[in-house]
Amino acid sequence: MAFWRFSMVFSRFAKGWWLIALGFAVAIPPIWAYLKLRAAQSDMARFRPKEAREAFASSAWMWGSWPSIRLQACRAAWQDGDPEAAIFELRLAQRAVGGATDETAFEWALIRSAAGDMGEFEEYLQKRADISRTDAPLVWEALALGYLRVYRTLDAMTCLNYWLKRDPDNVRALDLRGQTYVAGKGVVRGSEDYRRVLELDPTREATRWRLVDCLIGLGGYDEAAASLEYLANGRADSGAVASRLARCYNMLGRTAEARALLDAALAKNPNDGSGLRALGQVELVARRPDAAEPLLRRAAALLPNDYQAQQLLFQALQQQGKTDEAKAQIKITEEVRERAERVGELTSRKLAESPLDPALNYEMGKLLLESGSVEVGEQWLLTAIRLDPRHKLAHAALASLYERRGDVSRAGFHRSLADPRD
Amino acid sequence: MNVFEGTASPSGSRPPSRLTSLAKFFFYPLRWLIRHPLRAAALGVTMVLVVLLIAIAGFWLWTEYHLAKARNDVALGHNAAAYSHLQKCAIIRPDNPEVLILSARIARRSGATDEAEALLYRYEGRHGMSDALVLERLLLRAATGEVEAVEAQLTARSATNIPDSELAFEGLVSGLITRFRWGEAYRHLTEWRARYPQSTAALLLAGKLEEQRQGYELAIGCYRQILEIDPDQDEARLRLATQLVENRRGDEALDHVSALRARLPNHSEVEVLWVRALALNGRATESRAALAECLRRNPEYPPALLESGGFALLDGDEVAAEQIFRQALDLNPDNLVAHNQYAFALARTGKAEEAAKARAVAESRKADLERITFLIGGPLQSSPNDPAVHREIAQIALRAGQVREALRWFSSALQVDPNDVATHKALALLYRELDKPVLSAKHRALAQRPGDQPIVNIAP
Repeated sequence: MAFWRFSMVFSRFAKGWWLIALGFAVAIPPIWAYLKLRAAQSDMARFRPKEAREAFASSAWMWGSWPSIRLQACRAAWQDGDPEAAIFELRLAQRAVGGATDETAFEWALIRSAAGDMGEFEEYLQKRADISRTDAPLVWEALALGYLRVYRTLDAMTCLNYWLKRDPDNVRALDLRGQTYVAGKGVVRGSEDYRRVLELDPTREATRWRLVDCLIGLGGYDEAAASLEYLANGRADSGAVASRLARCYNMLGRTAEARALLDAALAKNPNDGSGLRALGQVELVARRPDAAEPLLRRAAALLPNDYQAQQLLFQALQQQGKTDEAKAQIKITEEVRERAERVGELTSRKLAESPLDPALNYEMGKLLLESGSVEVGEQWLLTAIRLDPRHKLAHAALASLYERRGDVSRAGFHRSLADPRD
Repeated sequence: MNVFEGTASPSGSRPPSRLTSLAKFFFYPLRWLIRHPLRAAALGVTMVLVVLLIAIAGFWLWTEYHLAKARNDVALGHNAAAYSHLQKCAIIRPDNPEVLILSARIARRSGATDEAEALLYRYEGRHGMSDALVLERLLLRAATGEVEAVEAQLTARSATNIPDSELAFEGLVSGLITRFRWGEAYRHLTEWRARYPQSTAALLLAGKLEEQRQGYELAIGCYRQILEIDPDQDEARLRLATQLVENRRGDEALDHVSALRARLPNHSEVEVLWVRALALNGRATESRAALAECLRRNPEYPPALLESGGFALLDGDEVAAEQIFRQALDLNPDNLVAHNQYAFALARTGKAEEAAKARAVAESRKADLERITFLIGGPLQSSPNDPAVHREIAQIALRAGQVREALRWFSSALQVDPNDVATHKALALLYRELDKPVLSAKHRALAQRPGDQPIVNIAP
């Protein structure tokens, strides 16, 4: 009897709990999606496009059909430097809204500009920025990103200074100006902007990374190590952190710590080029060129355009008295240095001054092709042809590229324009 | 029970007093309302609906009346009258497509191109694309100097017999006049007047063209002809009166200005013409009184200030004259007469150094004006496709502080030669001054052609 009563009471409770559980099961996913959406919007407001994109993606099953949410996801994508994804999101938004609207047209202009193709949108965007205070920062951001992408640093700087004049503590504008300074070889001023960003928002990891690279370049190993230790919190074995931190420790005379860090990182990822280079450097500092050589050989193979890796390998060979190999290596090192210097000159000065010079665009494309960046190099060559459709050298370079790819028709087209005999 | 119930009381009972009957009579509707609430509600709703319908129909008819008037006035070129009618329409139907288009047309004719653009933008937002919008956009682009871009379309429209062909002629000719392309403007005007001999719009533009070419007598002839056809054409009368006053024909001017005052009360330009016409007729006291009244209404109207400064000089009050001319110059820095008068007043007050400076500025402005007149009358007509001519006019306009005009001329320089490096350089610097970084960047990039030196030396 008692058992019967107990089971009755239990079954009533159980029914109640089932209902509650069912209610939770139904309610929790939308609530979770809503919270994710709010998080994405908050990330957007704090200029964290990467985090916003992740949050948008995880709430897309619930809100994905809303055009306004798609447009926000689109914005996060171009702000994060991914124009292809932004175009995909924009098309979804257009499909949801049933065609093009003023807002989608504006977003399209922002995407194209952020991708560096601002030619036909400049006047429209300037007008939009003039008439709408809320749209203006988006316009400056997209244009600064686009100008930076094609190394028009002077133009990026003009936009960013204009933006910062109106909003001096805007972390996104400061971060982008820092990048612009660094692109124009103004590393000291770039690091000042990054420091200011981190004062305003210490949690911005991407900015801290940029600051670290600036500091290492300037020899500020103490400060760089402190920032890297902050970044390494909980992931000290991460290759990127370990190699940089090891380099700093090595320069600060903390060789044992450097070696321990690199050993741990390379145990996890034996093909980490920068880790191998750093460990090779540690060995060289410890006067063990024989131990450094195999490490640096692997590093040089993994990072063929890295001047430092090639130079350290040359030192390792020279210190061991391998003269012939050292001679061959110094030739490679010099080639890499010259290419890097020319690319540096183009990106920091020449292209900023004359962005529409087809010869400079051609040279940039050629250098990138030589250094193995085939797709980006191809784009530069195509830009050179757009600026001067009769640029023979650009046509010849493209013809060779397409021949190597086996694209006969395109190769033939460019070959005919490179060497028009008829 | 009915309304007479109280008066037909049974015999024997006490007859109701007159007061009671009156009260019953007045309170009867209230009693009826209380006894028949549903019927009362239905009646109330019906009455409200009827009133609403009458009001809506009334307002609709009222706006239709004003719209028809505005339509007619716009067609006749009576822009001030049309504007007043359209303002009334806009109270009730601000987004009516015709109200927006006609308002944009008046704004364009009055030179308020930004307002016209805003109105057309609003039209597009509310009603989408339409032929009326396309035409008005073409006309606006022509009016802002982009005549090359719209010339073919407007010529095609003007060649047809559609009702808009006259508007197309208007856009084409006014655009060509804006760009000082006199020969082509004259050719289109001839064709227009051959097809529409009574067109006052054609005559008005012919008058403006003659004014631009400094053929003042011919312009006066055109305006007189307009007033014979349509005495209510205020713009023609205003231009005629201005020309007459400028040519010191005060007696004839007085009649026209008087007519204008009746039609356009409190119009500052008309009031100053009135002041000048009275003075030309020797009615100095009335002239001074009219000027005082004009300045009371609009104390910062530069032409009125110039007249006032002139009177102060006549009175021997050089100190006051100097202050007045200074104020006029602050309000309108590119007025050559103000510069000259200011320099003269300074010299009369013994400020030799300042007077010399002011005279130098006046001389420089005069030289610029003469150079512009020469460029427009000579090289621009003989070599209209030389960007250097357009660029030089732009630079003179810029020196005179006329940024908008300068931009228009730089733009026309680029229309004749999109690769003119010197114009791109000038625009890059100008846009930077104007806080338009995107356009500055665009022109800076275009100016940096191979073989050219960079113009911006800001190392990041």
